[in-house]
Amino acid sequence: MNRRDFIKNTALGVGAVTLFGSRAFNVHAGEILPKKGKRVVVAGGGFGGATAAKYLKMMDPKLDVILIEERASFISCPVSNLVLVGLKEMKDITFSYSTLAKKYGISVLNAKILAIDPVSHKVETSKGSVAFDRLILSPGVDFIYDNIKGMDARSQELFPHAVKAGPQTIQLTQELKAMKPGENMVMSIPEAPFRCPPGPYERACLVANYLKNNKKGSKIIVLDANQDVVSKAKLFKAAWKDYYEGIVEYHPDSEVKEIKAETRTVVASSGEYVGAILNIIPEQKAGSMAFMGGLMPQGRRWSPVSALSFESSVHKDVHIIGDATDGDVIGSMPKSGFVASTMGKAAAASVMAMLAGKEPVSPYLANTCYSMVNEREAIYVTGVFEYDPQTKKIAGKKAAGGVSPERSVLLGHQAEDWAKGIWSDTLG
Amino acid sequence: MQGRVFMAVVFLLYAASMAIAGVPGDGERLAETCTGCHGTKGASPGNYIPVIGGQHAGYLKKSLVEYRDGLRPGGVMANLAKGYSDGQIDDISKAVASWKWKNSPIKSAFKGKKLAVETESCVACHGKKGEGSADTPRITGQSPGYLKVVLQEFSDGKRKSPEMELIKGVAATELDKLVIFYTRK
Ligand SMILES: Cc1cc2nc3c(=O)[nH]c(=O)nc-3n(C[C@H](O)[C@H](O)[C@H](O)COP(=O)(O)OP(=O)(O)OC[C@H]3O[C@@H](n4cnc5c(N)ncnc54)[C@H](O)[C@@H]3O)c2cc1C
Ligand code: HEC
Ligand code: HEC
Repeated sequence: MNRRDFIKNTALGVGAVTLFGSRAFNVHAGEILPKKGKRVVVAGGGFGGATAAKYLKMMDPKLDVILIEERASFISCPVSNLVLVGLKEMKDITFSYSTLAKKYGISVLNAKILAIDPVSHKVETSKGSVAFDRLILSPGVDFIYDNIKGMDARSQELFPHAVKAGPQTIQLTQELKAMKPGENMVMSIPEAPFRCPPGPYERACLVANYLKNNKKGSKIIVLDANQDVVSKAKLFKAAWKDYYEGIVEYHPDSEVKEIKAETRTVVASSGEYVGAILNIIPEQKAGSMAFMGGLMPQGRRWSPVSALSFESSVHKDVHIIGDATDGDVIGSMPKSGFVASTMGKAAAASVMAMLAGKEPVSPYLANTCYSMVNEREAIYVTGVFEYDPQTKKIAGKKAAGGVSPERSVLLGHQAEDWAKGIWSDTLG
Repeated sequence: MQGRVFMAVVFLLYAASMAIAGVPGDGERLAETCTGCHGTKGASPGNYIPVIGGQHAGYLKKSLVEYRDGLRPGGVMANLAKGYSDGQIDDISKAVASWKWKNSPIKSAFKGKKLAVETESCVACHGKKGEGSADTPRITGQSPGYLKVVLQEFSDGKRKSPEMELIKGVAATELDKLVIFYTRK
């Protein structure tokens, strides 16, 4: 049995069972926010969802738009690696949804989505059920631990991934602070695709920079399940060599097989490693909402959608965007906040057209991910993507895809401004 | 004849796709991919990423073409601009120019009494208020960090423009004053 089949038979099978078993739609839940005119419900207020809701309202201020998000505030993954090493604080990456409500008239419902019924056009939330004409889901990612022996519930708490900014970001920050000089941190990177391809490598740089300045003799040991650095490889490796020789220890082709919690040991395909801190980034799948209402076909872990309209391939009137979408179906793109944001805008435009009974409109997408290699300098990767009616997939424009020729302080400034720009475009 | 009918049908289809109530056309949708960095409607909140919303269409187009063709120094723009055809650049420039200019929220602090800086020559092309026109950019209210970077590029001869030759070799301290002048509170 190969790896892919294994995933199919374990992690995904389980996801599908919970979907049809315990979380069937509860028709008796009281309806809240009764629907009058045409309504779009956006579920998940991350980069994709919040942007979609805002751009829907910018197109038609009269449209009834409800944004449902379980968190009381928006916490940004971008820049969270800087929080880990004390260069930024949680308050710098935490934002309110109130501008979306006040300035754009979006009804922001702070509730957890429990079930989705695409047929009767309802979502069940922790605060009651909400009806929709069209639903846009931006579920983000969830984690697959089944392939790592010993990664039980307790180990999952002990060894944070910090790939969803929030409590785990704080936990890892505190662990780094408490680590004794000479002790090591082990970070594992799963096989691609995963959220934010350059994210873990940026983390390696920033943690190494922190160790260099604060923890003499400490190292960050990077166990990468991939054959090489997945994004901006040359630039990251140059930074490791020029700045962090002997501090970043990089092991490609190192898939994590087992965690021994008592001895803080990681058993990987390339050997055994011990760390005072284990930052285990597991394999990923679409967020839990993508598995509700039969929207995820059996045996899959990313949502199949139309590359033109982002409408689910399984159910009409439900659109799925962001990290959760299946690159094999729509065309391969990085799972980034920038891509999720442009998908949000594109889906919003097609949803508007389809609400009016018209054909969806062509999506235009882009990506840029800056990564800090220390407190001042950054590097970047870019991409421009367009729908190809021939293949019915989204394809990258070759000439526009690239990386920065080098790292620089100016790019460091622009990286900071990029974050300000996308936060304001998403929430402001 | 047949060709003409075909063209007419294509045009009608095109017009129909443009005409969906409330749904932005291709230029606007393309330009919306820029706002992740440049801010909604091109009103950049950052110091080193320029305001583009409401900039003159002629200048926007010239800039994008020059980034694309490697004629103007750029970072991300040198990559991204390569993703767009001439027609798309035209559409994007029109859409971005139609947005309302908003001065950068970042202003240069100036504490002295009078800023000793010669701006009469600038007025000749950029206008009395630095508002620009056609191929000459608006500069008043631009992001200060960005303005300093481009003025330095003109001074160093890295960014080439016959009209801006006057900046060549000008010292950084003088450039700082120009930046303050056009971006002060
Ligand atoms: C360390 C790190 C650094 C990164 N840096 C960058 C970067 O520099 N640039 C970049 O472009 N991207 C970056 N990313 C990636 C970026 O964060 C993601 O790609 C982006 O968040 C994806 O957006 P999304 O809308 O798909 O998902 P999310 O932003 O995760 O949004 C999903 C939302 O749904 C909510 N939700 C989930 N389930 C429910 C439920 N049942 N009920 C209600 N709400 C629910 C969640 O709370 C969340 O708010 C980084 C990621 C990490 C981890
Ligand atoms: C990843 C962030 C990012 C994205 C996306 C982006 N830009 Fe830029 N833009 C910049 C930065 C940074 C600069 C400064 C030049 C550079 O470093 O490339 C800039 C400069 C510019 C300028 C020069 C302004 C002037 O006054 O001369 C124009 C015009 C521009 N961008 C237009 C666009 C358009 C149009 C798009 C979308 C098609 C776009 N940008 C997308 C970051 C971005
Ligand atoms: C002869 C006309 C002319 C004069 C005089 C002139 N400019 Fe310009 N300026 C231009 C043109 C045209 C451009 C656009 C150049 C290009 O296309 O790259 C420009 C570009 C600029 C830019 C770049 C703006 C951007 O968004 O990137 C700045 C800043 C600027 N000028 C400042 C000044 C200042 C300050 C002065 C006076 C000291 C001045 N200019 C004098 C014509 C002029």
